[in-house]
Amino acid sequence: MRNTWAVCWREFKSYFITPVGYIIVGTYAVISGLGFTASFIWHARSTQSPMDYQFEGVPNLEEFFLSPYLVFCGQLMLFIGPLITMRLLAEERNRGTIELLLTHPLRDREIILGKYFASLLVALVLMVVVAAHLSTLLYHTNVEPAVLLLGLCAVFLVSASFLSMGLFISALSRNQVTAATVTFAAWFVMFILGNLATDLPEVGDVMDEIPPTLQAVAVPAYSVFRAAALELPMDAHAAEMAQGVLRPQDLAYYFLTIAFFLFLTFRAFETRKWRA
Amino acid sequence: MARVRIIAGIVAVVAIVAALNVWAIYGEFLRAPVVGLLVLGGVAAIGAFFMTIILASDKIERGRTLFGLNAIIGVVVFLGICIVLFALVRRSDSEWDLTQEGRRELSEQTVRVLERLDNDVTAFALFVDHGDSMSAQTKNKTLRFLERCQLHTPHLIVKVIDPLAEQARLRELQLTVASNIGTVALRSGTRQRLIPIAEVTSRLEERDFANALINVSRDAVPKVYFLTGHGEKDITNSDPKDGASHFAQLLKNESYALETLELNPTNPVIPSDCDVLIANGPEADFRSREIRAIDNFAANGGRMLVLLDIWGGVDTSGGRSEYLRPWLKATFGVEVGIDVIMQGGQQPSPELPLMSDFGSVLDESSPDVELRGSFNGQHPITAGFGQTMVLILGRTVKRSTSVPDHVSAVEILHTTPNTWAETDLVRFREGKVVPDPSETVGPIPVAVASSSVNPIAAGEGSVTRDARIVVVGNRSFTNNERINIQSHRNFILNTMAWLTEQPDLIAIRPTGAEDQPILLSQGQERWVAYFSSLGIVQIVALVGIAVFILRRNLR
Repeated sequence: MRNTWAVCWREFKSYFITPVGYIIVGTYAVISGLGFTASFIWHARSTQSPMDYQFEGVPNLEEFFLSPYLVFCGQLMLFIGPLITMRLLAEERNRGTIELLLTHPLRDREIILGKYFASLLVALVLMVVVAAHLSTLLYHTNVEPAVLLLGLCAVFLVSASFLSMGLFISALSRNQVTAATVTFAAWFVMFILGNLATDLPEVGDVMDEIPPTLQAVAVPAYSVFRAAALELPMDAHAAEMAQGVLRPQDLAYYFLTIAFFLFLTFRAFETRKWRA
Repeated sequence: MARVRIIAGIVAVVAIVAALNVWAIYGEFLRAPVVGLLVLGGVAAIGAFFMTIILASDKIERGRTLFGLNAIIGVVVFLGICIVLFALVRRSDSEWDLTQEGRRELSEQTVRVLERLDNDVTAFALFVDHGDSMSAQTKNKTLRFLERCQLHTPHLIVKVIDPLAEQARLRELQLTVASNIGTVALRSGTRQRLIPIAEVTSRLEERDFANALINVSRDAVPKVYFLTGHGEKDITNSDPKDGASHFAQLLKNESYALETLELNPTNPVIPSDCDVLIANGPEADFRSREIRAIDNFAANGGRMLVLLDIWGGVDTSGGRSEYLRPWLKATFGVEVGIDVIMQGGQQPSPELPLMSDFGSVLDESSPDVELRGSFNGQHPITAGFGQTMVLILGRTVKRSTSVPDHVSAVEILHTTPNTWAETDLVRFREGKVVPDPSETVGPIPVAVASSSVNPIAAGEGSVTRDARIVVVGNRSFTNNERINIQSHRNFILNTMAWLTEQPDLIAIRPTGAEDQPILLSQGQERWVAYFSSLGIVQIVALVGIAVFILRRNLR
């Protein structure tokens, strides 16, 4: 654990002794800040004249502002995450420092987990930025604590999932730009395909189109395919949590996603042993 | 075989890409070309993979291939484990709603109404199973809420019906579906109320449920007359600013029967079945005969709600007498000022927030009455108020210094301390208001509730009930745009309940998924924009510069 922490701290420091960390945090602060300002002022005005904004009564703060804003903060990782993960392993390979790292008495898991935890620490810094935005909200009105806390947890879990996938892609690549581009593209494709999948008809609606002889195989296969496609966007499970509703399936989704991509990273990292 | 392997690999890639293209073009996944191409692609890929293993020429290459195969199998197995675990967790379908709404007990008023139920009320919960999580969650939330209600009464019976699967039952019960996402129908005897669940909030609002319950369980239906003929706001007009149709609907939802009343100029009479007479923003003064009719109504224990805008009853030019304001003062000890209350500050505003949290002060006119911020903490109408009301263009309405002996008048609403009553309406129309030392400063009373026992009638024993009136120096909070603000609704409904002597209906009503208005001044908006968009970024930049300088110095 001490080695993991040493790798983590070294990696975390490397973000903030160069301008990279500040650019990442600054960019995130600008985008999330503009989103916060626009949506909070819009919401405040809509509470004063609900009918002008097509509401019948005063819109609920948590449902119409806080939860969507927190989900938006999670989705921002789609753009910011590749900047965090691109350097984790790809940079080490590109600069040739991976060999130096491997000469240390470190296990693969200590290196991978150390780097992953470092990226999580950067995500925590980004959460501090979100918390700073929300502090202005707390100054003006009362906020439902469950929505606030679970919403922040949702943002963190979405970020952690994105980062685990980014780490895996970084482990496959030698070039930082390639790693960032592929990570962004992969997340984006998952996001788009997952949203397209909502148009897929339900099993009951397509039964007539499948020949009876194939139904025994095709129907379960289609069900699994549809269910899997609907799970593709990583922010899909954040919406409920950001509403203050805790569902074990949402937690399981994020923890299993993180575990799966970390497992892939281990496998990708150990290929050096048998590819050479 | 090597060539076959290459061809199989190319075929696999081309077939899968073609399948995705065909799916995208036709928009249907289950078409023969899409499925066929996917199957072809899958078979070609598997073939190419096995040929790679077979074709491995030496031990090293075979070893690499086997390691690769091992990695792939490991990944597939791990993915399978993850999917199975996720499917198992998902099957449990449990959830914990940790929000205030999910945790909280029912509101005081809902509990009171439930506990008063004498007859059975059946709640038909009509939910179509769309197979998605939202409809399932809406149904679960609604049923959990109804279960909580059942804890307070044995008379609430809940029946769940799927409108698609049980259409015959639906017809038999003569129920209709009012919302795609779900409908709750409350029925008691011959009375029924449908509560459509709004798609925006996807939940059964406690407020709607409580209203519907009052409606189906209420024995008496108080009759309310809205006066017309003096420029009062039309209860059929749906205009956001000038209409009062939502105000009327609000009262109908609580089982008030509504009528409009235009008094006959030659022989004005208030109908004997009138329980409450409402003058909603009259723009002209009443005539003397009308005042006599209203006075007669009050003398017989009549009840009135008068909402007066700043323009109402101030035109005394040309030697005309004024009737309404003097009558209010003489009969009920209510003095209505000719002024407009402004909120001070850099830019004076006619928007008056009434709040409970600017400290307790003693009412100067009645030192024994404690005000909680803007609200009278002891009067039944405002006793439980903790919500923010917003009046626009209010006028002073205060307890007269000379209140008749048989009258009890109480100021129930006050403005905040940073307000003043601008008496120069000409200057106000020109937009040049400035506080004058001679003008009254806040907290300024803007509403009075008064009751009067007619001494003669009471003495004869023919009339036992007192006359009651509530006068508010503003009507903006009842227009369509603003009546839906929770605090405004509560104030009006509490007032109506006090006027009709239904104390069990005076309560802070359940809020549902709604909030208090967030009042941001222009300065506060600028501060939010500055801090969130620029302030935090500058802090990040400063930290970066500090770290850079610190590191350079350490070097």
